[in-house]
This record gives sequence, structure tokens and C-alpha cells, in this order.
Amino acid sequence: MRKPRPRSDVIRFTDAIKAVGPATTYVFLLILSSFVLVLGRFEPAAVERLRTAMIDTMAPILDVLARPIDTARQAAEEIESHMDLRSENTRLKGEVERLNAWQALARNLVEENKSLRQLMGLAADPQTTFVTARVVADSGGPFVRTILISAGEKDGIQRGQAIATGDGIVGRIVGVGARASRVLLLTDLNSRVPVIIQGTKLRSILIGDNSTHPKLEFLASGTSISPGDRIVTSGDGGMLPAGLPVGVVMAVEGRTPRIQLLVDLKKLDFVRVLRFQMQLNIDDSGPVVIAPPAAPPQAQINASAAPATAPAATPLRDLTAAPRATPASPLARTATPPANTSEPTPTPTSTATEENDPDPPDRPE
Amino acid sequence: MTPTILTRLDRLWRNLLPAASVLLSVMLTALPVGLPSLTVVMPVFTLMSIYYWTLSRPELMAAPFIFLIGLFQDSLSGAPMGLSAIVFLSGHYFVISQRRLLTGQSFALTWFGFSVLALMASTLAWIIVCIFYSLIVPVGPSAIQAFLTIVLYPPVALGLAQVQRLLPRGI
Repeated sequence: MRKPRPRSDVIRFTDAIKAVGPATTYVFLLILSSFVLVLGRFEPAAVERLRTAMIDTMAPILDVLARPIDTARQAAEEIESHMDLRSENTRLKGEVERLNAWQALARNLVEENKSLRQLMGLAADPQTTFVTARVVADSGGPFVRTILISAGEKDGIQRGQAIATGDGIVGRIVGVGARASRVLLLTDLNSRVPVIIQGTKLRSILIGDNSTHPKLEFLASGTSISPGDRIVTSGDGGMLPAGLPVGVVMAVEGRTPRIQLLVDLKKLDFVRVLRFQMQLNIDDSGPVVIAPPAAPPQAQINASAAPATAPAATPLRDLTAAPRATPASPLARTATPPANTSEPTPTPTSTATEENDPDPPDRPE
Repeated sequence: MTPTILTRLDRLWRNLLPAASVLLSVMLTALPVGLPSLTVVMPVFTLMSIYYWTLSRPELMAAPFIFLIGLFQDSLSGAPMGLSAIVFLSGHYFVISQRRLLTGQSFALTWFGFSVLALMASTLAWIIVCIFYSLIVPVGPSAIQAFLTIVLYPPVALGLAQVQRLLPRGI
């Protein structure tokens, strides 16, 4: 069986082992690790608590470590932008002109929408506020696509909340510590997000598979989608706000189209946590009622005008609790489509960025 | 001659340097660098430092410490908890058992030893993850990560050699 070893080798080997602890220590620790692994598979909550405890203790250090990287990246971007200042300027001027037209249209539509909703007695959509947080760590590993952000329970973060940048949605919160939270990116193997193909009301699920381009699945058979179609969140399930921009359909191969995300996940530095809560007043005697917020949503296009007047109907919306919260709705960003996909002339049909489709008030459960 | 408290304290913090460097390498692995040309994976700096110190000063790299480092790495990366603990512990044991072959050799041979370790570690991690999720996870990112880890070992080892000069002589 075993070849007899020269005596000197045996001594050296055992010396080394002695220095780090006996083999039984390894066996014990390996069994313990496997136990943790199996526990995490079948009882994720317990392991997640251990994980967030560890992250919480390290969050301040990670925050400090991430800062120089941010600075370096900003410096690089600054140099880059200096290079083509002139062409950038021309491009931006054109864009401002175009966006002004969009803005005027958006204001009109907001007003019109408000009065029409009033006429119909339609429940207002739940309002969303957000907290800005710094990305302090990136999984960096080959198996998961998650990031850590520097905001936690004390900032009002809860599991399931959506993470977005100005461009679109990034992922959602899967673990919350006191000071830091873990975000599951849209590209992760475990990510499932209900989406809708804009302008079509076709519903689908965006499924990550660790590649850079998540795929659309569970499309109804016989549906036709084409490259360039915009995908937004549908708000189904009440976990995420409806109408958040997600991405654009890439080449359609076979039955599972892939999506080019609007956010560059490799260049995340600051993100917004959308503190969205669908208010479900569940009453035993009747069907589920989606309650309107206490105050009607203000005109969100010029939300910056009155930052202190946000309604404080629920503790979640108590903006004074979180110093970094801003009441401007991130959905306001969706009113201006990105430059590369929008038409130069605004038309009412193409501005329907929010297919809000509020659920009927008496949706049976 | 009994050492004074000051020299003992000095010895203590110097002896903690390897552990500190391993801890730092866990955080480096998790930094949101996002180099556009690289893919999303970062090299496993943790494996590099564990390998370096296990070869040069095994008495300062206890197995329970490796276990905790593994858990810490998993909590930061979001990987299944216990994955890195198993991989690092196995790797640590492998290095200890091959220490006779690897110490006092040329750098090229040490590097080769590390390459074998990195490949084994990434294969083991891949197998565990496939079992964990009960599906075949793409091999590509793992392979890229192993490659990056191997290629970046020399500069990291050079840096750790500077740290090693601060350590008191071994036992």
C-alpha cells in the first residue's frame, strides 16, 4: 500500500504538521466548513446572519479601502473627458436641446396624467424614495455576482429593495447588516426579475446566469420581440417599483433573447437604494386593497424644488431618519430616455416609459 | 536573559504581520476595482499570501486561522459560506505536506508549486459550487481567475518578502 518513506522525510513532515496543528484539526475544520456549507444551502437565514455580522465589522475598513479606487477612477474619467471636451460640448448642447423638448412634454404629461387619474379615481402608485450608498466591495469571484454597499439597517434598508443608478436598475438587496448590505446583481445565477417589454405589455422574467447578458425567459409563445426593444421592470410581485429601465434586447437567438443592461456593472461606484413599499392593506374580510399614499405624488420632474415636503405617511418614508435620503423619485429619470435609444422628436407614444398598469383595486388573492 | 515587555510587544506585532497581510489580501480580493479590460473576476490574493506564509513561516499560519479567513472571504464575496474555508484548508494542508519539496528551492519552482495549488483550488471550488447549486456553472470565469492568480503571484510574493524582513527570526 504505502511506500515506506526515508526517516528524515517523515520527521520533516511531522515537524511541519506539528507547527500548524495536528491532522485531526484539519479534519475537524473541514467537517465544520462542510457543515456551514450545507447549512447555507438548506437554512440560508442562519448563515446570512453570520455573513452580515462579519461584513458589518469590516464595512468601515472596506469603505476606506474603496475610496482611493473611486478617486483614481474619477481622475481617469476626468482626464478622458478633457481629451474630447470640444466634441463632447457640441454633443451635449444638442442633447440639452432635445431633452428640453422632452422635459416640456413630460411636464405636460405629468399634469395630464394627474388630472386623468383624478378623473378616474385611480389609486396613486406607491412612492419611492432613495438612499445613496457607496459600493465598497465587489464579489470578484467566479461564482457569484454581488456587491456590498455602505448602507444598512440604520439607513432604512430592507431585504428586497431595488438598487439602481441614473441609468437603470442594478439588482436588489439580499442581505442587510447594520452598516452594510449585499446586493444581488441582475447578472447573478440566482437573480430573477419580473420585467415587461416596453410598449407591448409582454411580461417576462429576466434571469441571470453569471454572464454579462442576462436572458429573458417565460415569454408567451408566439410573441415577437426584436433587437433594440427596451425592457423595464413590471412591478409584478410588489418587490420592485414598476417602470425602472433595465436594458435593451440584443440579437434574438432561438427562444431566449439576451439583454444588454443599461447600467455598466463594472463601473459602479455610487448606487441608489430605492425604498419602495407597496402598501398592501390586507383585511381578512375582503380582497387585497392597494392603498394610496397619504399625499398625492408631487410633480416629480422638478422634485428638487421642495426636498423637505415629502409625505411622511409611514416610517419608511420618514426621510429625516436617513441623512442621505432625497425625496426625488428615481422614476423621474425614466421620463427622459437615454440619448442613444430615443427618437430625436418627442412623440407621445414613445414617451410611455412607465407602463404602470396599476393592479385593479380589488385583485383577488 | 528575559526579554523586556517592550521587546516582547515588538515581537508580538511583528509576528502578527503575516496574519494581517492575509486579512488585507481578502479585502483586496473584494475591492470594487472593475477594470474594464479584465473580466469581472479578481485574482485570489488570499491564496497567494496563504501559500507564501505557509511555506516561509508555517508556525504563524494556524489552521483555525485559515478556516476563519475562508469564512471571511466567503462573507465578503457572497459565495456559499464555507466554500473558501474548505478550499483554503485543503490548499493549506497540501502546501504543508509538500513543504519539504518546495522550501529552499528556486523561485521558479516555488511559482510552479503555486500554479499547481491555484489550479487545484479553483477546480475544487468549481466542483463544490456545481454540487451546491446542482448545476454546471460556467468554467470560464474560474479559469480566468486561476490564470490571473498564477500570473500575479511573483509581484505579490515580492511584496510579502519585504514584509517577511520585518519578522523576528523563526522558532
